[in-house]
Amino acid sequence: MEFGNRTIAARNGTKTGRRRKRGGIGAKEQLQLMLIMLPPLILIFIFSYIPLYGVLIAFQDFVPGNPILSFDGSTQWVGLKHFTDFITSRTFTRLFRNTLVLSGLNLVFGFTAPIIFSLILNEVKISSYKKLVQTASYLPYFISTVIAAGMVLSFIDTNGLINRIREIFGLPSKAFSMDPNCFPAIYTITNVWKTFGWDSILYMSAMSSIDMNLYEAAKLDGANRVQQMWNITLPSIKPTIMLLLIFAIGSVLSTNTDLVLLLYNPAVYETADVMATYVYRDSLLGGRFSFGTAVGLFTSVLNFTLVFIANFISRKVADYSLW
Amino acid sequence: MAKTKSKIKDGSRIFDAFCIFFCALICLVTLYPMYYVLIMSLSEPAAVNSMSVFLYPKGFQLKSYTLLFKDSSMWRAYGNTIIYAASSTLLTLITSVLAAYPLTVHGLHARRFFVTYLLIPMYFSGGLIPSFLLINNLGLYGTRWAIILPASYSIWNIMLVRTFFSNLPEDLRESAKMDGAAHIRILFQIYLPLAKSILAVVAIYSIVGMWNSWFNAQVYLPTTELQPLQMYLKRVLVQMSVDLTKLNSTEIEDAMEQMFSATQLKYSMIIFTTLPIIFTYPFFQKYFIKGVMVGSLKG
Amino acid sequence: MKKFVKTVAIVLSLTMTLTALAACSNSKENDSSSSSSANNSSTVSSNSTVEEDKVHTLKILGPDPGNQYIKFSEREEYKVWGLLQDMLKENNLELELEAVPNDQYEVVIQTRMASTSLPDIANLTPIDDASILTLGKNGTIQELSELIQKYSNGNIDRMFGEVYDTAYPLITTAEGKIYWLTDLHKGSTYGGKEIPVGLGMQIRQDWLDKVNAKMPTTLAEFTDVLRTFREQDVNGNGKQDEIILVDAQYFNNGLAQIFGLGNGYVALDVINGKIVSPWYQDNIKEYFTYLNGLVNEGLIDSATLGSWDIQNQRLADNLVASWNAYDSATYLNGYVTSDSSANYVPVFTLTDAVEGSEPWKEVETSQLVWQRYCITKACTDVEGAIKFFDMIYSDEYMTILHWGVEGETYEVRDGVNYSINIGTNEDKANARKTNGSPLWGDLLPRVQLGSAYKTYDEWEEVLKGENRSDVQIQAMAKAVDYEYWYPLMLDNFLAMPTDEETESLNKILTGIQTYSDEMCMKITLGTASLDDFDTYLGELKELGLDELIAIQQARYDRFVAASK
Repeated sequence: MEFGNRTIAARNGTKTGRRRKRGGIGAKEQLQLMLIMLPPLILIFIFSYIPLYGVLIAFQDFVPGNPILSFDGSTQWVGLKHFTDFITSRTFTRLFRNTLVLSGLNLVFGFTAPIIFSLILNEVKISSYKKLVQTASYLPYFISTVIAAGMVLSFIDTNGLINRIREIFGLPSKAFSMDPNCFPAIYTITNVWKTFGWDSILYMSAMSSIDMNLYEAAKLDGANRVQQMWNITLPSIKPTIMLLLIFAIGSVLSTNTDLVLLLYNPAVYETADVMATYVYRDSLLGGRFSFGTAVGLFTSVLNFTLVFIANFISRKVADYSLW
Repeated sequence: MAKTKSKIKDGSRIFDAFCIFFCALICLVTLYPMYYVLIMSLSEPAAVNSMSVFLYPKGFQLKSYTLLFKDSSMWRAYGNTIIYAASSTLLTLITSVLAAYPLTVHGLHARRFFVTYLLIPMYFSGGLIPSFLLINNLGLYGTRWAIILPASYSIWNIMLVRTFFSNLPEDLRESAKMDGAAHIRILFQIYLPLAKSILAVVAIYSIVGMWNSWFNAQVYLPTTELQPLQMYLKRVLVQMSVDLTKLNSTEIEDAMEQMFSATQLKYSMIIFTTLPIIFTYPFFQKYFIKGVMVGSLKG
Repeated sequence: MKKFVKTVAIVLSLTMTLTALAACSNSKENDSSSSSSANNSSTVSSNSTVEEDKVHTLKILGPDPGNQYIKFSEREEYKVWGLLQDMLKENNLELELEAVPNDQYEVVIQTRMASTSLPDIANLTPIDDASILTLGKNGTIQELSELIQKYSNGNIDRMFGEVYDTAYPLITTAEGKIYWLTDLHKGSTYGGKEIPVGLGMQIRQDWLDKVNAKMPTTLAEFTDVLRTFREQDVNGNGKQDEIILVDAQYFNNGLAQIFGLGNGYVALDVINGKIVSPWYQDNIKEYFTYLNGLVNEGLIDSATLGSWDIQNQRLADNLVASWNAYDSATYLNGYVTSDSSANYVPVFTLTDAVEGSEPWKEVETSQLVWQRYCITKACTDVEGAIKFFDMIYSDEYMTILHWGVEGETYEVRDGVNYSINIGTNEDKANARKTNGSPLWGDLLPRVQLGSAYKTYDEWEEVLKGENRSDVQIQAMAKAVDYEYWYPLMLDNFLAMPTDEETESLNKILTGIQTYSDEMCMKITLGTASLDDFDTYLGELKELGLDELIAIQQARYDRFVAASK
């Protein structure tokens, strides 16, 4: 373990080194940096900030064709009506709970799977095989959600593959798609399967920039492969992991709506109906722009708050932060 | 000493075997679906509708492929998508790098402000109508710019590049500054060559994102001439799978006929549209499959 | 340094190329938008003689109606399009049509309404009733009843008030205002009697023949036949897997009506003129017990309950003995891929679901009203717009839209129209022969009036000519006079909601739908017990089921009052 401490100490060394230099730039340099940033910041302002006034829709009874913001009284302001309607509705608790459970599961498994996968893949030394596996792993990302859901449903169908295997073991055929207890697992597995390879791209790229000297040094110290993985590879991709973790926590109230819509049915609403699917069904009735916007805004505010909290914790615990 | 060494070696071999086996499993789980889509697209329509194809194609036909191939508007849509993907990727690369670099310079004033400025649009958006009004007022409605410009930056990609840059040794910048280099030069001459792997990631994310996108085209491009591939595909499917709720008994017969032929088309379209984009991957992969010797570049 | 300059140069040149590319498309856009001001000039008209010669130019926005084969972009090649052009010329009308691809239309209309570039007339169907009313109140779209009074030659009144006599009450608000005109559809008649189309359970006639069973007439017989199919492995695949498809989450599944239950969360009982909810009706428990029994016996495959995909697979796999569809449907047979002799026929209403109970039927009424066409505030030539609608609601337009070109797509014998069978849409497109409906319907309103057969025999003759089986014809004929029925489209019997009604409906509908769907499935599957039925009713009441019934009842009553 001696070597591990050394690497980490070395890294911390640069960190403290950086801190020392803090504040050491002059006005001219500031100007340079501002100019560099300016073009993207302007684009963001135009295309992301100017339309932001649209969130006001959540506080009115909006109809397409009406002005969103006008001072002649034609805008029907309703304050927090849509928020209270949603939060006090009889299904809210269930929707909120299901959203948390489904995205929580996805946070736990969807977030860790690509890390584990890329750590193991990184240990494969046959280059062509490594390329093949990596390419294969990201294929599911390109299968459209409709087809992926269709495949999953036909696998778990009463005549499907899973039930045929169960038959071999003498187990009775089971309609998994009708069992509320199975839904979270089905959803999570499908989601992880679809995204883990794609998400691992980022880790693979981060691993590629690790200084090879570190491994050499570790080998000299007698570290075995698992130790190297644990003490060099993992710490080296820590910033990437922390970045993704913070954003993963910040999306804990968002679910893969398309996938839920395709996999669920009323028999499993109990565990499958989430805020976004409820809004979707609601919007089918038409004319509920404001309600949908309100629920979206509600989710965004909570998610944004969570990012702040996650960032704060990360700064204290992992010495990494977004700002 | 000799004993421990051999022990490590043995452990290493078992570990290698484990890694290779694990990856083989992953391959199986992830290759199969694409294979499945492929054999579905080649099988007889009857077998496709009953979903009875699992291991190899049942029958063989290329009808749905020929249907796509001979349609000239499909090729036009393909061309459009390439234009959109290439230009938005290029712009995204530029904006990501430009926005990310200054944020990694310690001592930048109001850094927190800038990061927050970037984060807010990740969570809040004005939605459909204000965005449409903006595009319309800028005179971009019905032009290619309506697709390219809103996709010319990605805050997520800025964050990725920033994290990567901040992980590079600070000494690089310091020594260049000693030599009197301006920041823009440090960025392009020292940082960029080291950042190939993250730029490759950004490029992949952005190409694939644009390749699969259709929503902006649906809102901003009311005519088919400028529309990308995904809009074309969506339209073909929609035309074939009519919304039954909007019809009455006299119209339903034709609609069902169309629906029947749509199932298989779905599979052919996936093969047809994703293969090209999948083949671009190995090209980028070379930028991050090998370890970079940061130390050696420094010297 | 050299490399740096090179990179910058490449980046710059690429960016410029892109700019040029996009600029090309920019100029094109300008062309199309410049025409919008053209109709502003021709506004004021002083006397009627000048008016005769004046050409009214109207900008119309709607969905591109074309299907895969008959394409709107190839309209010039169809004879019927020429007929429409002649008709427009005769009426001094000139249309600038903007057809947006169908799949984009919903989004486009929502955003375009917010912009300043409005057309004169637009198909506003994707925007719901309540929202259009708001647009009407704030003047974004124009109120029509006064304009019709002032400018119409009487065609609109005749179609909406006489030919389709329930149309006006459906589009008139409680305050007597009209904000849109609609598509009108009226089915064929024989001897002056309207012919509706029923829906109900269908059964495999070829399987009945195979097991030597006669057409079941009671529910018990029906269930027995399903069991026999299964026991005898009638599809011959070596497994006892013959099933019935039921959409158990909804009530409009054919089986619920056999128990006399309504066909929706609420439904219209036409005999008593009452809005009812199946949840409150007699026999609801018996219905669920029956469904649950089918599931336990395996006659309903529970995997089919939630998924259309799986249902279609079972059909294609030749496993489905029975399911719910239009009595007139013949497309089902083609769905069965492994058995070309498959023949689904309607089982006309099964009696005695509960001892002595009368079965009900879901019916698509002869007269239908749908889609909404509005005149926007951008229209300055309202007189022209009304003239346009007068043309739309004329017999001549109805003929070319619904029937097409005489001698090409239809013929007239003894004063009755008969369509000429050209084949599928693909055949029609290849022959360049079609009626107007598939070419421009919903971009311009559709007005459809079926054949007026003189006698039943005449109608039967036509059905036989369409290769329909005797069982099917009998079922279709029986539906004409059948007494116990629920309308398929409840909306066609409800007056427009008031603001308060809309507000309440918006608030309660999704909750009721969610809970009702969920409980239907769970009770059917047996995961929720009928012992707790009162609890479920209590929850539905909490969610506002009574309020829903009351609102729809009030709307129905207003509709009836206005129809008289």
